[in-house]
Amino acid sequence: MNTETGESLKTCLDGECSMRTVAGKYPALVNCLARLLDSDASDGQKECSSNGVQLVDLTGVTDIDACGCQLLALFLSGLKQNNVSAQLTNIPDTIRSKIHFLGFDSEFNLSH
Amino acid sequence: MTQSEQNNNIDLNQFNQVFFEECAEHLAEMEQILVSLPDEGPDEEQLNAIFRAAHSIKGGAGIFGFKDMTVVTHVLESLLDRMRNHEIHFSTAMVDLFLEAGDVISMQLAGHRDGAFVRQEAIEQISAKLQQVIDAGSVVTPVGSASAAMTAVSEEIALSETVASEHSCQRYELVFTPDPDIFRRGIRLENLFAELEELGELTVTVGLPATTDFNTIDPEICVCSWRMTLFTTASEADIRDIFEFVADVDQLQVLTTSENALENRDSADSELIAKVTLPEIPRPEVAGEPGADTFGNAIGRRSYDKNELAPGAYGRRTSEAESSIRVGVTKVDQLINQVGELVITQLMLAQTAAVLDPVLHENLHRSLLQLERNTRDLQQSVMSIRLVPISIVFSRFPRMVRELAAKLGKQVELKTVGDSTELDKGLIEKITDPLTHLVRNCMDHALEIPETRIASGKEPCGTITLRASQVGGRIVIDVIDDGAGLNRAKILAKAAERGIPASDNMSDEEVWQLIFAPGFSTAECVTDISGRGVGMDVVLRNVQSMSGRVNIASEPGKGTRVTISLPLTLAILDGLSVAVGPEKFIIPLNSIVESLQPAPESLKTVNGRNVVHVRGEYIPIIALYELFNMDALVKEPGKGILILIDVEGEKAALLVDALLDEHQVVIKSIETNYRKVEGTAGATILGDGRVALILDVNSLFRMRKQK
Repeated sequence: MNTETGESLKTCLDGECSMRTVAGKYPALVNCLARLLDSDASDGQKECSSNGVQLVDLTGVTDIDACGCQLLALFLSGLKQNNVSAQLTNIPDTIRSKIHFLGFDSEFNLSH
Repeated sequence: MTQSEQNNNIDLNQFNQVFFEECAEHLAEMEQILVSLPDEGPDEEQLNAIFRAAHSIKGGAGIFGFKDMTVVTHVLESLLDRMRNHEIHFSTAMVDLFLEAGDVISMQLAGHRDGAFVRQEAIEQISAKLQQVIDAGSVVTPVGSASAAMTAVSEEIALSETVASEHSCQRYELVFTPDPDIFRRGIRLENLFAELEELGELTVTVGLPATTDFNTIDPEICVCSWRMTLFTTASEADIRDIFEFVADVDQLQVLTTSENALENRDSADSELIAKVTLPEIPRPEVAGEPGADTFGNAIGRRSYDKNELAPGAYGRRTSEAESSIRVGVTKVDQLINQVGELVITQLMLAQTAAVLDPVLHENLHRSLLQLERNTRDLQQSVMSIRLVPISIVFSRFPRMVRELAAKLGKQVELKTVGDSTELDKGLIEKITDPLTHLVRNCMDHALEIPETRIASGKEPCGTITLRASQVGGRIVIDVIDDGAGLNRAKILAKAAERGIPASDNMSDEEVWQLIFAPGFSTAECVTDISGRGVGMDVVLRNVQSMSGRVNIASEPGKGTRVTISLPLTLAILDGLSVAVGPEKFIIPLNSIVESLQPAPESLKTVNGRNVVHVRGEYIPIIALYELFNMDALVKEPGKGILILIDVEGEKAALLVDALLDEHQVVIKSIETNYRKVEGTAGATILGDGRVALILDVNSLFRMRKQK
């Protein structure tokens, strides 16, 4: 996982996002959340996409299960609780259909 | 990557292991019920139990991703379900069919668990056979029923089911709040939802806690709930069955929200969803909670472990379900090893303190005594963890006896006594083969065919009794039959024919021991069951390898009793320490008859070998210093001490320098830590920290003969 800065700050997830890997991905997401909130505090404004939404890029995600979806949903929820809007982007079709099948559409604001 | 392969990764192995063990238990339970069925067939409870066993295996296989294992179980379950609904009637032929199905499922289980070869054609064949029974209505219809009538009934049922299904499609609202540790248990919810989807049209929506501090969550703990809408003709029980392995009853709410839902589905949708709100179910503190223990559940356990009334709970003892956990044998062995080390340390302390003045150091001595008692108690408690009931072995015989009896045209009743007698798990594994051979021998040779038994004034049905009991520090297992008994004349003749030393003057006990000679068999024809002359010698060898003994008692026309006596455990040993030169050896107490300082006149030389004359017997002397090429203080038998040992009637006198002490020693593998040393069965560490070899008296006899 990494973050990119530029016009907007984008969070990128990659690889498998499942029970096997959430423990490894979690610290990075915690750091990411902290950095986003820090930047919020210091700059007085959020680094986000042009429409004011923090993007979470799933291009590199190869697999996801309910545990992985939950982590992602809690991450987005954490952002939301701190008044940072977030949106998943570049979701591979297989990942999108798994998210849908596991019932996380509404949590991720996806239409199916 | 297939689901099965995914589940085989390291993280999920521990969970798969739970499934493997429970699947094996279900199969064993199913077989146990099947082989004990009366001729008239199963009663309702037995049928339900068989069904639940098959169903549980199928459910578990599906959840854990072993889809191939659901193939046979699905057809089996369908057939059993029809039998439960009295649509198909029982016939005795079905028992064999179900047993065969169980075998195939076992084979698949072994395939996943051990990587064993799986014969796909066997899976296809048994599935086809089971399906054939379902399609035909019954393999053997009840007396008086014609197959045409059965077909007509089946068609009627099918038609009524179709009609019913058109009018009974229901809308279910499910609220599933899983165990917080569901992810850690390796359960993949997508598989669960896929099973639900097979029942009908499914939509799933997740619910998260309103507020969560992301910085303090445990990402592997489930904090979600799921709400599902399902349109299906299936019953609530069918739906709950899918959750059997993953949810307690109170973790799944099922609301039937509409009759004839197919017609009303669209219009009702928004209204019904609005009515169902996610329940307020207490969740663990998400912040920093560490794993399954927080919730009081062992990882990988199922709902029915906690709830005896939950589906699938049949056959589990309440006490076991409430108070037992599964622990790997490796962990137990590690614990035993560590306690062994503790015992050695305690011995060292005791030995060090022995030189201290008991008055000046009274408190120390008292504390050390307490330590010794506590250490021994701890050792016994830990050793008892490895003990398992012998019913594990006994339970395999009903089916074997049933099948062999049918094959041999004999009537046999198998009785087991003392099923709860416990012995070491390692011994359980090793005793299975010898017992199997003994039971086969009873079936093949000892028990007569019904006509012969009737002619002898016996009941046509013979009896084999397996009896286990604890006698002192040993476990005694009897294999008793009421057959023809051993034939003394025949055994002596066969011994003479084979060149085995024997004479008419031998006692019965000595004659019976002849059947343990390699290649000995009095069977008149060789069968595929037994009678190839390989077996009884192997039985003896296997039992002896466990420090056990075999005795035979037999009476012509009345039967035979083979008695196997085993130590309770292989991990500790009662032994006598002896000195030979600078070294110490441990001699197992169970092989020692007596020790003596021989009078000069009792020592003789026969064929160049030293012997000692004890109560009319000349017993060969084995000088340990010679066998192990050591220096000894005493080389003359007349100046040392002789320890008489007896193993299965073979006697010898071991020459040692001195007797030291009696110990309960912890056996350590010398092969693992060093290399195999001939004449020894392992080593132990004494109180002074020195290593002492534990003598294997059997191999001492061999070494002596080779010299």
